[in-house]
Amino acid sequence: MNADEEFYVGYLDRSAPATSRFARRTALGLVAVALGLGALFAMSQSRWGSGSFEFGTVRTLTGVYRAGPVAHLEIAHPGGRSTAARWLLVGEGKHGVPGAWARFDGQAVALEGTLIARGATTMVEVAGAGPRPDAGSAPTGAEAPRAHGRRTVVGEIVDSKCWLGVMNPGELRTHRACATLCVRGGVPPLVAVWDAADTPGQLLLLGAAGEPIHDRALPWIALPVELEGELWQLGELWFLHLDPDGIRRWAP
Amino acid sequence: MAHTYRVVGWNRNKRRYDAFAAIGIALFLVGFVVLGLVLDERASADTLVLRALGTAGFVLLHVVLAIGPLARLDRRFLPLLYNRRHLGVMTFVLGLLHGVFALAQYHALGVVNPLVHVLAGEAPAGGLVGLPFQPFGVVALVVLFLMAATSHDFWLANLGALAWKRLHMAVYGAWALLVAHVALGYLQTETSSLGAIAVGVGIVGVLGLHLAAGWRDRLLDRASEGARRDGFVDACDADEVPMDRAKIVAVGGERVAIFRHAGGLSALSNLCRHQGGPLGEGRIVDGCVTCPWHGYQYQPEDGTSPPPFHERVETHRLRLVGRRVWVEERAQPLGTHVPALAVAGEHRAEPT
Repeated sequence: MNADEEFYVGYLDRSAPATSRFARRTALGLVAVALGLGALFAMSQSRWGSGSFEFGTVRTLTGVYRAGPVAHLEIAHPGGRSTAARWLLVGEGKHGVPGAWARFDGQAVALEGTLIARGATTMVEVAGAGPRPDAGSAPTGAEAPRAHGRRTVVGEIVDSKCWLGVMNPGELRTHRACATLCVRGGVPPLVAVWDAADTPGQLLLLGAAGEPIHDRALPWIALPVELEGELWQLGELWFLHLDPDGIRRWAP
Repeated sequence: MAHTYRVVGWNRNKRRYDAFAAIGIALFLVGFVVLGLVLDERASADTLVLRALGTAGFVLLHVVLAIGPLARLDRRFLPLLYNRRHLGVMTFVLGLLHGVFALAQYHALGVVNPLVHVLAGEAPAGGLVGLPFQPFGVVALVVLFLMAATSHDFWLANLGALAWKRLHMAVYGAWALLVAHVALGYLQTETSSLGAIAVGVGIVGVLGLHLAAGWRDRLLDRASEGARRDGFVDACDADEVPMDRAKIVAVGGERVAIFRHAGGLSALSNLCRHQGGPLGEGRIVDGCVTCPWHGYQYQPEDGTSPPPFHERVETHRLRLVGRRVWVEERAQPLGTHVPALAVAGEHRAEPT
C-alpha cells in the first residue's frame, strides 16, 4: 500500500509505514531548511559595534567632577599621561546625570560606576547615589579646549551611551527608539561619523554656544544626516558645535 | 477526537510532533546564537538571542502557513497538519519572548512608560520605510495571542466553527504585519541582501502555495459544474466515486462530498464542523466519513458524529439518472437522515 492509498488519522497510535516515512522525511527536511535559513540570517549580520560595557563590574573612581560642556569626570590618566583623562558620566538605564549633580562642578569626588568604552572615548554609568565629595588628591594638568575649525560631516546621530558599548549595535534603524529614549532621558547625543577622513569617528553634539541640544536632535536620530559645525577637542572628548536647524537628511 | 475537554488530548503522534518541533526550535536558537558569536567576536549575545527568537518565530510562521496548502495539494502532508495548532502556539511563544526581550532592551528604564514607548516612542521618519516598525510587531503579537488563546477546541465549540475559523484566518493579517515589521526594521539595518532575499522567497513561497492550492480547487470546481434540473445538479458519473472515498463536486457555490460506502452513495457538506477540513478528501473508516485533518467522524447517511460525539454536517439528497449522479442543490437540515443511493455494479475509479 503506498502513501496515497493510506489514510492518516492522527489519534490512532499506528500510522501506515509509507505515511510515517514521508512525514518523517518531510519534517526532517523542514527542520533542515529552517536551520539553513537561521544560518543564513545569522551570517548576514554584519553591523556589530566595537564598544565594550563592563556589565556587572562596578569600580570606585575618583577625580574632579565637571558639569560641562557635558558631565564628565576628570581623572588621573590610566595610561600614566601627565594630563588628566576625561570620562563621560551618565546615569543608570536610559538616563543622563541628574541636573542636581552640577553642584559638584569643579570638586574632587568619588563615585561608583561601570565602564563603557569605544575607541579613545570612555564613559561611566554611575551607580547608586552618585558622586560624593572626596578629599583625595585631584588630578592636575587638564587640557584646555582646542578649536579645529569648521567641518561638514555625514553620519548617524545616536545616543552616546549605547553607541559606546551598552548596546550592540547601538545604532541603525532597530535602535532608533532606544536612542530616542536615551537622548530624551539626558544621555548626550553623538554623531557616529561615516566619512571620517579628517575627523574623529564620534563627536558629541552641542549647540553653537555649547548648550545641550538633546530635544533638537531627536527628530534626526538614526537617520543618515549631514551636519556642519565647529570641531572642538577637550582631551579625549571631541565635540561638534552646530546650529540644529542646519541638520539635513543625507542621501548617498 | 474527544467528547470531553482536556488541556491537550495527548497521543503518540502529538507527543512525537511536539518533541520534533521543540528540538528543531532549540537547535535553531542555539545554532543562531553560537554561529553569530563564532562569526564575529564583536557580536553581542543578548542581541543574538533577541534576533534568534524573532527569526525563529518568523520562519516557523511560514512553515505553519505552508502546511495548509501543501496538505491540500498532496495528502501525504496531512500528518504535518494534524497538530499544526501547537506550532501556532509555539510561534506565539517565540514572538512573545522576542517582544519581551525587545521591550526590556529598547524601551524600558527610560522616561516614558515602555508600553507607551513601544507603540508611540518613535516618530515617522518620512516615507513608507520611515514608518516605525514596532507597532506592526505589537499588533501581530496581539493577533497571535488571540489565536493561541482560542486555539483549544473549547473555544472552537463555544465560538462556533465559522466564527472560530474567521478569527483564525487573521493569521494571514499577522503574517503581513510581521513581514512589514521585518522589512521596516531588521532589513533596514543590514548591508547584506541575504536577509531581504530570504524574506522575499518566504513571501513568494507562501503566496505561491496558496495560489496553487486555490487554483487546483477552482479547476476541480469548474470540472464538476453540471446541468441543473428540478433543484438537482448533474454531479458526476457513479463510477467516478471510489469505494470508501469521495468525489467532491461544486453545487450552488458550495462543495459537496459524494461518498461511496457499503450502503451505496451518500452526499454531505464538504466542510468538517471541527475546523472546516475537506471531508471529501477523507475516507470511510469503520463505516464513518473521517476528516483527513483531525479524524472527526460522521455517519454518511445523516451527517452526525457517532455517539458520544455531537457534531453534525448537512446532507444532500441524491438521484441516479442512468449512470449519472445528481445532487440536490438545497442541503437538508442538520442531522436529516437521507437513505444512501443504491448503485448497481462495481466502481472503476482510482482514488484521486
